[in-house]
Amino acid sequence: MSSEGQPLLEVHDVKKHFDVKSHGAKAVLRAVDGVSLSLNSGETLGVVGESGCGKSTLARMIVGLEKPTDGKILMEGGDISTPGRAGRAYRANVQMVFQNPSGSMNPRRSIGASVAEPLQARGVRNCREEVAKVLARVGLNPDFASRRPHQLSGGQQQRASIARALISDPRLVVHDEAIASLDISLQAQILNLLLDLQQELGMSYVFISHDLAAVQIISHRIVVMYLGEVVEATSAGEFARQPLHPYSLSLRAATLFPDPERERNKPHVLLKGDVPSPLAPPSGCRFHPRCPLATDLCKAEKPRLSKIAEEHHVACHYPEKTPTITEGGAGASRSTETAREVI
Amino acid sequence: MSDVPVLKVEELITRFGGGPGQGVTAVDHVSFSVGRGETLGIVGESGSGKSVTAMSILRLVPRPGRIDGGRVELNGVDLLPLSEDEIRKRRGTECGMVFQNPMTALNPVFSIGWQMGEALRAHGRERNSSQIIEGSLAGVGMPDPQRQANSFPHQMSGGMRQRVVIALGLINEPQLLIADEPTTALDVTIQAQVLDLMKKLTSEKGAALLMITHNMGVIARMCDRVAVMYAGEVVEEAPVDEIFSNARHPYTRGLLRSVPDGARPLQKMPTLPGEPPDMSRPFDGCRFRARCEFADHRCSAHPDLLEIRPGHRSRCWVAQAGEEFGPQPDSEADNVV
Ligand SMILES: Nc1ncnc2c1ncn2[C@@H]1O[C@H](COP(=O)(O)OP(=O)(O)OP(=O)(O)O)[C@@H](O)[C@H]1O
Ligand SMILES: Nc1ncnc2c1ncn2[C@@H]1O[C@H](COP(=O)(O)OP(=O)(O)OP(=O)(O)O)[C@@H](O)[C@H]1O
Ligand code: SF4
Ligand SMILES: [Mg+2]
Ligand SMILES: [Mg+2]
Repeated sequence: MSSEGQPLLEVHDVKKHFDVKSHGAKAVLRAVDGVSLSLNSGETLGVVGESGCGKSTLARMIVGLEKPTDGKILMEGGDISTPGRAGRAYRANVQMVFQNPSGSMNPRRSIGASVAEPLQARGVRNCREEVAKVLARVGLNPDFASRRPHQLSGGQQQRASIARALISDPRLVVHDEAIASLDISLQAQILNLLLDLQQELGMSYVFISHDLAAVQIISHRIVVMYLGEVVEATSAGEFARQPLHPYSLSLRAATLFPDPERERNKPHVLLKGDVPSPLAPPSGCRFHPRCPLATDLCKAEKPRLSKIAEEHHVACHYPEKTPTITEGGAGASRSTETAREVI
Repeated sequence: MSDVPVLKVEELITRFGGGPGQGVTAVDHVSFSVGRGETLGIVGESGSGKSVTAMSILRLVPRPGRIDGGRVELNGVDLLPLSEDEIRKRRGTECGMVFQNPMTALNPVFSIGWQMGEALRAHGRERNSSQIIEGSLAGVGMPDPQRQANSFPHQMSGGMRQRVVIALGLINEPQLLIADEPTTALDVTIQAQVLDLMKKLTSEKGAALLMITHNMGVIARMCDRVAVMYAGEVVEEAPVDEIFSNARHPYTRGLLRSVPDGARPLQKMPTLPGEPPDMSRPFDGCRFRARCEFADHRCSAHPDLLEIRPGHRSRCWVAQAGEEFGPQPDSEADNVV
């Protein structure tokens, strides 16, 4: 059992480098480049960031599907890469919902068989009732248990993968873009279900998503990644109120609102510059070629992730220069009310 | 400009499996049209037939699915009776498609560049193909386009694959682009870039865009009109502002209530009550009846999709009788009732 105050999950300076070919020559792709974070029991950590910045790679390392090139991942203080019992116990307690449902649904097996797998791995024999129950909770007709994945719509397959991840009451579930392919009523239903399970069972989540509003709803804390690194880490409330890294702000500015008039009249500011390559990350601050605040210092020196307020860490030389978010401004939250009750 | 819409779908029916009375009618008498330079959004329930509609238009419905009726006119020509050869020629040039699942659209054993080159070759555009390919990868915000052309789908992140599929859909500048959830795997800054690119195709080249998405922000940004699907049917169609401010079908109104509001952390959100419809059983009356807060005796008969005011169609008895649904929660300020 976890001792008081010990985080459930600790990620220490983790790196994942891939060997790739670039123009015929060997090169190293720094998909994740020194990420540290921690997650308490019963807590949700939201992860947002540019496409290709290493979120899925980080997720795969956390669930043990990929070995870090460097760094450590601890669950309740124990290294998850330890072979034998400790490692097995960890894997039994951790589930992942993949960005693409084919990651967890075997095309040759019925939905029911795939969903039951984590329970069977624990030695439970007859899972039919459990499968029907969990399918209903994710809004699927229990009759779907006998179908094959290709007979389901994209969102139906995704719900089956969520059901699979939840069926064995794991301690930690990593959701990689798990709800984006669902209609918004179902998205709300799944978010509600996750909140319920967290309250009932103390489940912890890592919630990766491009939907800032959804991340703000489900998360206690949020980290923002850019090109393999964490550039901002803060509480969800603070993130909704005032993110401080210029990249976080550009995310907020590009968020679309369900309001045609506002969207028609809004100038569409695109991030300037090319999307940088993880093969040759820019010098100094990796965001500097695209940053409106960049100076020579940013080109030369890498800003450290530093604490600038309680629970608020930013890797930027000029966090005080970030424009303030005004009401109705660039925010992903649609009202200024951000008071937040932590359950 | 001619009056002939680029795409006109009429009474389209697509079924999966089973004899009469069996199987699933995934697309049930669906009709809509998209004109030059216009963007029609399709939103709706998961499993309501949006992707199958898109695949039916291109005649790509997987077995055991089959198109059982209706017309699909592309620039005035019905595609359904065409030979396999003729339809293949039109895919890509006249009509491009961005599929929901990038992995089904990409071949795992060929490099990205080869696959894009193949799309160009199929339409006789061999010249300067590597330049065209790199340019179109850069256009969708791909880092290192030259290197990425040589990589394989499994070496890419989810969003990179999605961008490749978008680049493929756009590469031959089709007159009709069907985009099925094109931006779900993209961060919002890349999404903005990709949406701009699609907008250019419609505004500069006069192409028609059919945009299937669950993202109401994307709908608000991109669409002129919106069709809402539920249980295989179009239940409402209206100009985009009407949908957001004056929806005339209870399903649409329920859906809009669930748009997430980031200002309410850790609070439960409103959802549609009740069970999703069971498509394998025959329906009785309005398909939304069991979940509808406005249902009454009229709703045991199946409503048609009728115009309730110019340009606004609804498949609801209450709307057709001109009765009020009560105030629509403001999607901007407080969408939680
Ligand atoms: N090969 C198949 N065999 C049987 N039923 C199928 C098959 N493919 C799709 N269906 C069914 O057809 C219906 C429509 O599916 P479709 O993929 O069009 O939904 P969708 O509206 O695109 O949903 P989503 O938003 O989840 O992508 C669903 O109920 C689905 O289960
Ligand atoms: N097996 C691999 N071989 C080589 N490069 C890889 C491999 N897997 C991932 N990458 C690269 O690592 C980087 C990070 O990829 P990852 O999938 O973690 O991104 P992501 O943040 O999840 O992006 P998205 O939001 O698009 O899903 C990308 O540049 C990707 O091309
Ligand atoms: S017809 Fe009746 S049941 Fe159907 S949506 Fe309208 S009020 Fe609801
Ligand atoms: Mg990913
Ligand atoms: Mg679909």
